[in-house]
Formats: sequence, C-alpha cells, structure tokens
Amino acid sequence: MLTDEQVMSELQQGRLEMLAILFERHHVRLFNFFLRLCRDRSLSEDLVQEVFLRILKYRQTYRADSKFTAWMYRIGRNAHIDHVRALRPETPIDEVWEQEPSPEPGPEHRLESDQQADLLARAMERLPLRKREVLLLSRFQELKYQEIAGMMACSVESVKVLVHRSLQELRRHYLDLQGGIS
Amino acid sequence: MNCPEAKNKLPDLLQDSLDAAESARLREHLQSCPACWQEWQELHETWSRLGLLPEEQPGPELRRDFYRMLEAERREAAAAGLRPWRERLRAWLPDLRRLQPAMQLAAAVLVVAVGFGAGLFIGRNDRAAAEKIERLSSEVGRLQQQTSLSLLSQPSATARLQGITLATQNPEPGIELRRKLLEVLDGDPSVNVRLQAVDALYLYAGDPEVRTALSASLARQTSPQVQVALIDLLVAFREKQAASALKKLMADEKILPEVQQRARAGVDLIL
Repeated sequence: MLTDEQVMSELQQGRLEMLAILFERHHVRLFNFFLRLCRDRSLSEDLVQEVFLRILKYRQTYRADSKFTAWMYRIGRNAHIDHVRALRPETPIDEVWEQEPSPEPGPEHRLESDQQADLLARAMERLPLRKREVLLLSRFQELKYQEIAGMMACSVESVKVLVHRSLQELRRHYLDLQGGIS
Repeated sequence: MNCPEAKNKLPDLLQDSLDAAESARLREHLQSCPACWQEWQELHETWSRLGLLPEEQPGPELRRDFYRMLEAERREAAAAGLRPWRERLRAWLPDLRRLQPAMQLAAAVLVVAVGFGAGLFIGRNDRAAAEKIERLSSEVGRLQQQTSLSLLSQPSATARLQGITLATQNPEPGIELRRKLLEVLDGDPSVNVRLQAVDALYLYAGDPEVRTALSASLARQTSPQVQVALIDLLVAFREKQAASALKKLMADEKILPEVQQRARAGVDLIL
C-alpha cells in the first residue's frame, strides 16, 4: 500500500489519477473538519472540493519530507479563510482569526445529534476561529503540536498555550449552555 | 516539577506525547497538587467530550463532483501540455520489446501517432489541431487498454505487473479493464500482482459495481497481506456493504489475529 507521501510523488510526476487515492483516504475527515468549523454542510463539501483542486494545482510545491496531512490541512485552513474573507473583504486578516463567531444558526440548520453533542457543537461555535481550529486539528486530525505550529507559523509553546486556553473556554461555554437548558 | 512546569505539559499529556520519565514526573506532581489535578481533570474531561461530536458523511454529490473535476483536469492536462505525452511515452518505450507481435504493431502505430500529434503542436492554437489531438488521445487510451489486457494475460508475473501499471495510467479505463483487474484480484497466483491490483482499484472508487465486487472478494483472499490491503481499501471507500464480510473474517478461526484486528478496526470506521 502506497503512503500518502508516495502518492504525492506520483502525482508530481504527472499521474493525476492518483489524486483519487488521496481523496478516498481523506475526504470524510476533511469534510468533518470543515463541518465542525462552520456547521454548514454545503459549504463544507465545496471546501473539500476546493482543497483537492488546490492539491492538484500546487502539487509541485509539496515537499517530500513533510507530512502530507499537515500540508493538506494547511491548504484547508487557507481555503476556509479565503472564504471567510470573501464574505467580509474589509476585515484585516489578523482580525479574521480572532473574530467572534457569527450568530448561531436557527434550530432548523442544526445538525441532528443527541443533546450533549449539540450542546458541545454550540459551545464550539462560540469559540473564536483560531481556537476552534487548533482543537479540531489537534484532537481529530492526528496532527502533533509541532506540525500545527508549522501550519500556523508560531511556536510549539504558543500552540500548547492555545490548546490549553481553548479547552478552558470551551468548557465554560459548555457549562454555560448546559445551565441554560436545565 | 513545579506548578507552572506541570501546567505547561498538560497539553502534551492529552496527546500522550511525553516520554515515560517526563510523564511519570508529571503524574507524580498531579497526585500531590490538588489545584493542578483539578485543572488536569477539567482539561481531560473537555478533551474527551470532544469525541461526542458525531462524524458525518458528505452527500454523494461530493464524490461525483470530485471525479468530474479530476476527469476535466486530466483532459485539460492531456490537451494543453506535452508532459503527459512525454510521461506516457517514457512508460511505454522500454516495454516495447516484451510485447506480443500484434501489440508491437499497435505500439508502432502509437509512436507514429504521437509523433504526428507532436507535429500538430506547432500549430497549437488551431482548433482543428486540438480536435485531432483529442481524437489521438482517446486512440492512445484504447491502445493502452488493449495492451494492458494483453499483458495481464501473460504467464510472467512481471508482465502482469506492467499491465497493471499501464492500466492505472489510462485516462479512460474501460469496462473490460475493470473486469480484468477484478479477475486478477480474485485469481492471480502471485501475491504481488494481487496487491498491485488492489492499489489500481482505488481508481474505481466511484463505481458501485467495483465496490460490491471488492466486498465479495475479501472472503476469497487467502494471503494476509492482500486481506489487509483490501480491508484498507474498503475502509478508505467507507463501503458499508463490506461490514458483513469484515465480520466474517473476525469470526473465522483460520484468519491471522493481526488481520482480524484490522477488520475489527475497519468495522468501527465504516459503521
């Protein structure tokens, strides 16, 4: 079985069909990454498609000594942030990362899930984008803090501090929402 | 270890990335410091709770749109750049000597056709030339398919491996090729050839018939390597139908424990 990195090397040599292997291996996880980030199924599907298009377009910029998934999620973050910025073109990039989320969608747009998972998803939504991202990347995408630091262009220590604070803030929002319904 | 050091390492403990000595020192501190213990409990609880977020499946349009996009990109690359031609030629030329006489003729036609096509690139902006190149490209696809099928029927395993490599380079793999690859997967005497067939079949992910055939093939495989490769493929496809085939493997006493373990992990991922 070829590794992701070997598949990328084939892709760089012009075997475009090899992209299918990467798609089949990663699209569900990538879709869930976006879905948990923005809670919008249709947008998440568009972003997955966009990521694979960019992988094809920028395949020659991939370096064989780096982990493929770290590179893919870097592209994914950029695709998402490009989308956010297109909605608010006047916002400077630094503020996009730190901005508070948009108002919660109505109940008809909520994902079907049990109450706890729903509470958790709503608590996640209250986190600023950067904190949501760092939790999703470190918890679900099997990326080490070192790899996330490379992706976010900051130190490993900053990533660890961010994870720590994000979890504390998530817990506060979760308990807050739980109190609101009990 | 003091409190600030301990707090700094709590995120590492979540990802289980500390070495044994560091982990032991941290746990020792946590046991003796109620404030840090409390903080760890809260972080760990929230970290674990994140696991409650359900994994959703994207709609079927995503896969369909992806394969359409890929096909369009491949066509564009074939029409616009010389590189795919060069690559295909490079893959072909060393093998010409091994081909059967009929295939040698086909290969000769191909070489002439490619030369002709390359000549047409001089007038690349010409629409008529572009159409001719398009026709030549599909001609190449057909020739490649015939050659793959012929190679896949050779007694030599090396020739059959070459047939599979050529099949994966085909821009328009036909039904015959798909049938042949599945046949190879089920019955080829060489484990290497069967393994490579599994890799080639990744390209047919969008094809429901292939997915069904793959689930059925799992029960017929005897080599643990092929079993594992096939399990990985079915899991990558998130093929729900495969769950019963995986469960059968788990219950079969003749199957190696490592393979059974892989099947068990696979069932969890699929369902």
